[in-house]
Amino acid sequence: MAGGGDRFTEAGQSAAGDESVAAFDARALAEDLHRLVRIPAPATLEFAAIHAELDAAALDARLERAAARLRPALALLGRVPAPPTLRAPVEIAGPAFGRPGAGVRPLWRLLPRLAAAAAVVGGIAAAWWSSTQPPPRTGRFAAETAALADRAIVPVRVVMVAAATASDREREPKPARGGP
Amino acid sequence: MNGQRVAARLCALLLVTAAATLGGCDQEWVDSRCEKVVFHSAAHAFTAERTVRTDPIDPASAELPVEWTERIQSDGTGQIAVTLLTRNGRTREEIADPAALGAFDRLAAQLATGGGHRAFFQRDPAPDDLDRMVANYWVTIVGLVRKPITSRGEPALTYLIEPLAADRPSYLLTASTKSGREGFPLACEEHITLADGSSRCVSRMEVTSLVWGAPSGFVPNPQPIVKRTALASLEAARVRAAAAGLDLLLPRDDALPPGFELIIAEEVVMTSTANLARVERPVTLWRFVYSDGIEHIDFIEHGPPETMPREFADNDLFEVAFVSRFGSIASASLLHRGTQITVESRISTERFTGLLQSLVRL
Repeated sequence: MAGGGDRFTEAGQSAAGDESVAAFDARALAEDLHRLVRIPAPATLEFAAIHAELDAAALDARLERAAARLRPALALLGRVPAPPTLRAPVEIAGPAFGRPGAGVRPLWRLLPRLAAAAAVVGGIAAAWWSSTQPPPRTGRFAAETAALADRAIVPVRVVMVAAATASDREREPKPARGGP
Repeated sequence: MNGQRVAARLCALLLVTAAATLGGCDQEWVDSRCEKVVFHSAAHAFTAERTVRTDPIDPASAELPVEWTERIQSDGTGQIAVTLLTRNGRTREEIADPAALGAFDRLAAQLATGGGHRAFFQRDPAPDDLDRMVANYWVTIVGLVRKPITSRGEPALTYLIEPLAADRPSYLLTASTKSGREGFPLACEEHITLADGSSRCVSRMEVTSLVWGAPSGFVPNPQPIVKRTALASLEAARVRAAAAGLDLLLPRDDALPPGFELIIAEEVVMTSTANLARVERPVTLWRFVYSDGIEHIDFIEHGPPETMPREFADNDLFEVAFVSRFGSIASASLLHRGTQITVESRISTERFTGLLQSLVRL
């Protein structure tokens, strides 16, 4: 195997110690992102396939495709700056990713992006909430029934009547012969 | 999980929309298909046998399950005959106990005349308005099957209808997809949500045999309804009822469960023997139907029958709503001045009680 291919094994472990952490982080991050921002499932599957892939050329191509799909989301969270080249996946999984402090930005720089993300999530939530609400009444009696809101309520007492069906009587135990 | 379900349904809706757009189908075709979802039994000729079972909401209650088989015949011209074949596994000839025999005859009469508990037992849930249904329910396609009830098997669609509000039942419906008879109900399960959030099946119906075409030796059941007049406004209903000495009550809008709206206001003349002479006489009643697309809240209002027990008025039981339940259906009777009001619905007890306590004069 050559190039980036020798960094991965079927189990997702790496020959180089610290790179295994980086590889694991990238996959976990991809899964988190999938859950959080609903990246199409194939992107995550692509990563899973990458870890099982032994062919370097195929790996590079798949890695590039996966990175291209993930890049906007990764960039949104500020974890990885959008790279200028298609070798980005190597950077994602590379040693730099695992270095202390690498890729970490001050919190205040993330605020605009967090606000944007919150707006998107809020919009989706509002759309979902509105989809659960019944539509306004528009039938031909709508105006007249709405006008009833001004009328005084007739005080009604509600009494529950115990269910007594014919089938109850059928199964009612008969008194024993000769009994009281 | 809910988010995933919503997303899946949105995707399904988009796919259907996209397919319809790409397919170039016109609005008329869509409307035609939609109309066929609402199947009108009386407009088709067929003979169907089916089993029906209802279970009490509360298993610990005194109410017991009732199971029966029935034969429904329709000649396609609006006439229907419903015959009770067995009740709790026994034909009429096999029943010796007088109480059980009485129960059999009562149920048979109710099924035949279309009155009383016919509404309880026979009211197959079916969409009456697709827009309202989609606005108030999640609709999920469960599968396409071929039911072995006809010689070649009846192609059918099974779909789940779940309400946005948990105060009404959800249904698992199986309906025919055969061209020309789309929507014919082949099976139905009714589930309600209990207070602890769990679900319980309270009724199920399944067609066991089905023969299309005019039934031989058809004798339609006598129908008590003489005349129906659709009313254009509530004011018209109020004026006509006032002339008959009635004081109509309806619920305030804000007390209605979400999604319900008034869709029918009509004056009905029917024959009844609920009089001291026990002879058939015409009775005029006013009927109001609220619907959320599938579920109904029915109001039937008329003058108190002559046969009403005298103690009722003597004990000043006016404005007292007596509520009974059969399965998931609640039924309330209320005497208000010179008007008897009956309300029926499958909405939850809490909602139903709230509805009864928010009635206003029309």
